[in-house]
Amino acid sequence: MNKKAQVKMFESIAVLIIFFFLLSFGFTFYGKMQKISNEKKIRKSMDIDAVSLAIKASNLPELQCSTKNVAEPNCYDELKLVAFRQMLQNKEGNNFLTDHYYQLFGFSTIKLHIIYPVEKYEIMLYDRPRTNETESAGILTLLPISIFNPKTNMHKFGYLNVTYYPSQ
Amino acid sequence: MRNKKGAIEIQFNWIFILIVGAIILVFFLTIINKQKTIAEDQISSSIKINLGAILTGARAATSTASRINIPDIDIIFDCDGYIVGKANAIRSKHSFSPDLIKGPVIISWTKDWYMPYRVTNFLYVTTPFVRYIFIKDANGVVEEIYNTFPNRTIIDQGESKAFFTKDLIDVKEVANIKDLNHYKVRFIFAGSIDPETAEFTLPNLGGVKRKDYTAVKISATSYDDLEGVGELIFYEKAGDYFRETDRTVYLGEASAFGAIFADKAETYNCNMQRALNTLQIVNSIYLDRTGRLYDNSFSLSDGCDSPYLGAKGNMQEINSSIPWIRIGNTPALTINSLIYSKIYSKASRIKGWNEQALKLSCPAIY
Repeated sequence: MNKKAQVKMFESIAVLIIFFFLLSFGFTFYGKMQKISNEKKIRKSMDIDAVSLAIKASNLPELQCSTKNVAEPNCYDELKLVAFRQMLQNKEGNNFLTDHYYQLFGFSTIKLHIIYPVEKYEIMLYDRPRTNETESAGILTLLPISIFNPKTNMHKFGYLNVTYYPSQ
Repeated sequence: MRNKKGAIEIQFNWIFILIVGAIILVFFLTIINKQKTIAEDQISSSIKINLGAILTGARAATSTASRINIPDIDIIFDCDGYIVGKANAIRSKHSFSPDLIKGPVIISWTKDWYMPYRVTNFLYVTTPFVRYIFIKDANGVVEEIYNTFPNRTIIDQGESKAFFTKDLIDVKEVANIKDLNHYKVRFIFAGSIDPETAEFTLPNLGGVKRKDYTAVKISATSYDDLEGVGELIFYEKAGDYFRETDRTVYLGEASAFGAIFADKAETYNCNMQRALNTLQIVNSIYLDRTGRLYDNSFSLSDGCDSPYLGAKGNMQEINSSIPWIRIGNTPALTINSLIYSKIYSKASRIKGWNEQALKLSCPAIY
């Protein structure tokens, strides 16, 4: 009788072991699927952030052209560009400016490439990549942009190169 | 003896089932709890990402209003931005909103802030579940504000949908306002009406709590006054009447509109301080730009130099009126009408110089 009870008990324990084994197998599989789906979601959110950043950069009132106070989309005023660069170059020690643009652009680099009608050249507008090398892979967004010079009343053509560095 | 053994065996089986059952139950409860937390975090972060993108898009499109469907969730708004669940705040500079926005629909509206050039876009976010009651004044200021605000309904895919919940009523009709199940009600006064002493009794609107039953009075006596500097008085319901809670100042139409959306003077001031920071940056850029136009003016038609020189001086004075401010937990600058009046007076002069530059066919200052 003792033996019978022992067998019964082993049976129950074996059923439980198999049950928990199948359960843990199921959860591992579910976890892996969740991980893949989360990675996709994270990637999507990074892409959204990158596009948002490009929109912000191309619509900066500090740089945007305006005619009779109406902002022109995808256009930078060349004189504002020069002033903006100068302001950022002189910002050493001005924590407010550093904070202001960090809150706006975070870890990113924004470069303006001018390609027509002059010889190609680029202007760095904002440069704050992540310092950690493992996290340095950025998401690139390119936006066409025209550059208007109010002194000469001439337009140049270029593109905005916005690289967003998300946290991994 | 056999019976006794059997009884022990049966009892042991029950204890065994009880322990194993409890383990399984605890195991599943832990998993359900974890999944619940994960799902909530996922919803919060997904809303955060989408809302952030929507707000960026809304900000880029000037003077537009849109109706956005979101999950039925509460969004808290304060000086740090929009907070959804446990996710970090969505930082949105120059935004004006009630302190609590309830889903599943939000309304966004943007308006440019000029001083006199475009400084930034003010973003107003609310929901159709907040009711705005505009009280007519003798000079028609409130009526004009009412007409400038977005429509009550919007046609979306051929269907009429609730948009901006607004009513324009006479002060005598206040006592007859019916409860329409909104969670917040905001009254807008202007001109000579004093909400504290006005002869009306506030109706009891069922679900609206005292702190959500608020009013703002804009000191303007004509719509043109909104372009300048004026006083804003914030009120909260106390018994059957309104009681003043705070006072602050507006600078320009877009700023006055901000006070209609922000139900707390503290959040309003915080956003205005940020707007002043942006004004300082944009003004510095225009100052440099005007300087370059001035340097170039001698090669242009006669007289171009004087508007640039005049505008430069006023821009320098705007910059000196606003100290560099660091927005932290304790704002460094107290918003006051003196600073605003100085900025507005200089901005008006810059506007005049710009008009003169245009008359002389010189490149525009802004």
